[in-house]
Amino acid sequence: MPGVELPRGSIAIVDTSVIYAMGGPSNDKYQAFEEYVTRRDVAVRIPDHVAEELGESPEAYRYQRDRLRSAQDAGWLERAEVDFTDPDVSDVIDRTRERIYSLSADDVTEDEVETTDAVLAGLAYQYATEQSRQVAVLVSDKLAEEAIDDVLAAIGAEKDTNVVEGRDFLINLVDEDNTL
Amino acid sequence: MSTDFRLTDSADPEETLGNLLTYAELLNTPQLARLYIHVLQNGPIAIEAVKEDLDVPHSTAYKYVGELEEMGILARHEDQTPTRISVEPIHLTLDTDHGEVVATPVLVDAIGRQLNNEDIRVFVERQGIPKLAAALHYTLRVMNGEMTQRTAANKLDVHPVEGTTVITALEDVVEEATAYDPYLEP
Repeated sequence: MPGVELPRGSIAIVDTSVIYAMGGPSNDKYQAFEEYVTRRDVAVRIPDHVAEELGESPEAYRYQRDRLRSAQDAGWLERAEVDFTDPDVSDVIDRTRERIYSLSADDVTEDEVETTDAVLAGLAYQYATEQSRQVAVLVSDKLAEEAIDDVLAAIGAEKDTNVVEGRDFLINLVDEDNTL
Repeated sequence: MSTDFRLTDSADPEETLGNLLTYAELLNTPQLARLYIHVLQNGPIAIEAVKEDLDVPHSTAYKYVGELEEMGILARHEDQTPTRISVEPIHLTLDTDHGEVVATPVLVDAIGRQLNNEDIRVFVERQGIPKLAAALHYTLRVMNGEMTQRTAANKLDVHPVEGTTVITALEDVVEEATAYDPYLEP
């Protein structure tokens, strides 16, 4: 599969599962991603909601928090505040959550669908309208990818945004590094 | 290990329980699990080669080979010199609180990965092997687009960070396992 490119100077919103898939700073995928976003001047953002979830995680998962922190310390990842007071942003979040629910298997109840997944779409919309920069959302599950993509297209934001499968993206980066 | 597994009603109880006892050692011993998967991937293979590839002592390798033989899932090819070994893919259906969970080689692989994968090791230490089996079940469903990782974490009744961490790790295991686990749908 040809690698997807994140445009130079764009914004990439990442979900934590993509951070987990990178591994720690000593991992090839982590290093390839760091090198890529630094070289292409891509601003990497993680929604506050997602970062808070990590902060409240069991102590045994401190190492995941440390990975996030090392990316923050290195200066290529920042937390981003979602503006829930903007009715359009909350509307995107609600619609994405509903879309996730409708795409989920029959045994998934509404309570089991997390707003955290939908917040990624809300933040993408917020950035695309506030700043005139290309925005990519990096997620690593098929269903969230489809739901976010559907809602961003439905509100006419597909020109400024795209949804990227994060694990494939990382694998391609490492493969490209190895063939250079 | 705790057992929140129930045996399926439809299966022959004696046979299922027999299989469960047979495989218990395989599901509970990460080193044995790792050796089984290596032989499954590379068999027929000489025992000496397995020893070298996995860097396990001579006595351990032979002990595990003997155990797999007793389980009835290892064959020796004695017509070849040196003798080569191969193993059969296991298949065990369990009715659990998370629905029907099928134990196939990919689960054995996940169990063996505890030895060198921090994400899986931490999860098993905290939650046990039955929960790992359930996590694998949901990982397949997430990969099939049936739910998000966070929904799967809710169904597993673990913190989202714990759930997404183990599912992310298991996705790598599943992707590699499609090459040798005949029970995985592509």
